[in-house]
Amino acid sequence: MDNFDPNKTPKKQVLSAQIDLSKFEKATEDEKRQQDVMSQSTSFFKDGMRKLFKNPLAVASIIVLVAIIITIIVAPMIVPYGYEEILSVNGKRDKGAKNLAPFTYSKAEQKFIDEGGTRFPHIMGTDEQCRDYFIRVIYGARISLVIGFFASIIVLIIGMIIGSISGYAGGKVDLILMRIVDIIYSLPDMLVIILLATVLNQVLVFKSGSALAALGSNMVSMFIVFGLLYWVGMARLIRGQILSIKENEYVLAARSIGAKPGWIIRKHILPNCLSVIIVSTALQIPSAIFTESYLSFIGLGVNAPMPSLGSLANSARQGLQTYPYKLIFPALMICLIVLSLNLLGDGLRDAFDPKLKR
Amino acid sequence: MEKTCVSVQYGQMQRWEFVDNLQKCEEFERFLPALPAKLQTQCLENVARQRKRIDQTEAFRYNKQNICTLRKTWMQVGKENKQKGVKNVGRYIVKRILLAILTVLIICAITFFVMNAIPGGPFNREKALSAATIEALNKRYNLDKPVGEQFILYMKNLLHGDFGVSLKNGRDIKEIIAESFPISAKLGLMAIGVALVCGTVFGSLAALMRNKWPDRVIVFFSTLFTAVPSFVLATLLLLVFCIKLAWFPVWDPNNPNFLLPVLALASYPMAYTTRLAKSSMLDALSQDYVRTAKAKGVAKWKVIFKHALRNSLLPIITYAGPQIAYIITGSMVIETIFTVGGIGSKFVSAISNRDYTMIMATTIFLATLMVAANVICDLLYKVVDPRIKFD
Repeated sequence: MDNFDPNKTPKKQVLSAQIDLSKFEKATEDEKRQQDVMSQSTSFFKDGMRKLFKNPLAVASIIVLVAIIITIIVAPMIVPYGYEEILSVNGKRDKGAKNLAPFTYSKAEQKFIDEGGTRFPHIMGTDEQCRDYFIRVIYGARISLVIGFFASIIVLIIGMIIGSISGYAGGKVDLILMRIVDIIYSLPDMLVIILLATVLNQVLVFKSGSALAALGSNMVSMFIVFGLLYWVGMARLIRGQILSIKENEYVLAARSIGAKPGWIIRKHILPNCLSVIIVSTALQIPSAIFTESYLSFIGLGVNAPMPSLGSLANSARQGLQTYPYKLIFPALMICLIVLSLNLLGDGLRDAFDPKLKR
Repeated sequence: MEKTCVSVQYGQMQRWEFVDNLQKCEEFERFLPALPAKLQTQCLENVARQRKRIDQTEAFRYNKQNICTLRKTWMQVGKENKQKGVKNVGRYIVKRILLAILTVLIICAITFFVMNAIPGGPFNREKALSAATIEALNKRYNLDKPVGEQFILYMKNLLHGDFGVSLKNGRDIKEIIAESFPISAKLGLMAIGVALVCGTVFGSLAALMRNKWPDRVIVFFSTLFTAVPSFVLATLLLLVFCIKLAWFPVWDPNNPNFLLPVLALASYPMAYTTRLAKSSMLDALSQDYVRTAKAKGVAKWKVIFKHALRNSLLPIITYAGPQIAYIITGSMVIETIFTVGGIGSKFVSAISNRDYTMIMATTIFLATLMVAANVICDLLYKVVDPRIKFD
């Protein structure tokens, strides 16, 4: 093939299957259009979202969650009471506003309204320290959601880093990391959390006015505890994923052109185990909220006077017989949040992880 | 035999040498010194590459010949593996127990050192004690020694069953545990029994009546109860059945009624087991052996109980360990709410009273219990399912 020219049609051989172009005619524009791919090309993420929005339970839980989040953000702007503010009328402390039922006013407030003043209704009544209960429940839900969200982010980051190092490096690094994971995994997590929370509450002392002090030592200790203990499950999961993805041809190809391990992990491996990461993070949030409310219930949660749903439910136990609604409201809020997050997690799993069956 | 070619470059000219075996390659090497020195390395590289390829094909051919003989020894290898398997079971059990002991030791260490990190000694009271008294107390409880030595002393005492003395009321912790643990154990065992049995029954029922109303009802309630924290359920049960309806007494230590605490404690594990049992039952029902049994004309109940249910129980056993851990921690709140005088409620009151020795002792005790339960579940699972490989 010394005189081969790719731009010229080679001379037809006798027995060749080469097409005689003169026997064909060009397709018209109309015919060309018929061959167009009608459906739009879709990415993995778009396809997953489409499946998610077809699932009625998931859509309902998204709506509930969005409603809760909007309430949490908007309500403190509308309701004129603070979560630790003791009610007062005309600058005078209102001593009668103790343990009011929902949508009722104390005598002083009633008098104030009769004289022509306007008073924002106590949607969920007031508590035993004359504070508006609705705003406390709202702040409690805020705290619970924030803790759930950030705790799972912390877990995700630590678990992802250690899991991908362990899975990709293999060998001795993997062995050592997995032994550590095994040991932390076999620790009874709830007991260690209680222990650490008890101690950290005493040990952590922050300068007043700093950001950490605003969070309170209990909340910081809760994050520390989550970061220390809960990453192991995520690390194991990601390691397992990486071990299987690592064997794929595109990783081999990337390695053969000299891509660095960090780049391969970021560009090839992590996007491929994204579905597992999304699903387990979504399911981590409700479990973190559960843990937080549990800790608050036994008195190790967020510092007073900051309310949390668990501590509100706990303090409602004292006057349970006469004021059952004080338990019902925070309890309903926890159930609603956890239920919708669970359903959303299930929906995400069905949409993004076709391999995982119910 | 495969022919391979080696290219040699003589100045501007390129020559192809066909080499059909290793020997010719060596011959080629022999006239190599005659070549210009510049080209020698290049040629050698080429030859090395060829030789590697030849080696690989040789190895492949060798393997192919041996596959037949390998097949003959297959049975023998299987027998050997079986013998090895028995050995591996023993090794696995020993390994698992060693890991458990290590875990308990780590828990003891964490508990001890973490508790030691709390600022202020145990004798810092509102009413200040005299320096001499504190010194005497420190000496009495070995608090004047270095931390490491204290830890060893503490561990020695633990091995002798001596958990120390409660800081709050000065009682021997061993006694407190001995009197409160049986109540908790009874409560916990009842709860785990109810959770596993009812969960399996409901889950299997839902799987057998898939997409009919019993399935819908069961799935609805199991989803709902995984979202209700146990303390909320317990408080509601207490409110409705003990206070409003007064069907049950709140808690009478002489005539205890376990129904409500067990219900509250078992709700979450039950809901979880139901979901698990449903999916594993569905999985088992779609297996080939179930279809074969049906095709043979085996009675329907026999297929369900003998083939499907037995196999669907495996994942439930796997999750029994974590559920026991859940029951132990859950019992703390439930016991507090129902004022059951179990070890859980003692733990919670120790936390709120800052009774550090009590917290330490109870943590170590409960943690050991959980680790032991996990080991037993793991071993049970491996015994029940012979398909599991021992590593």
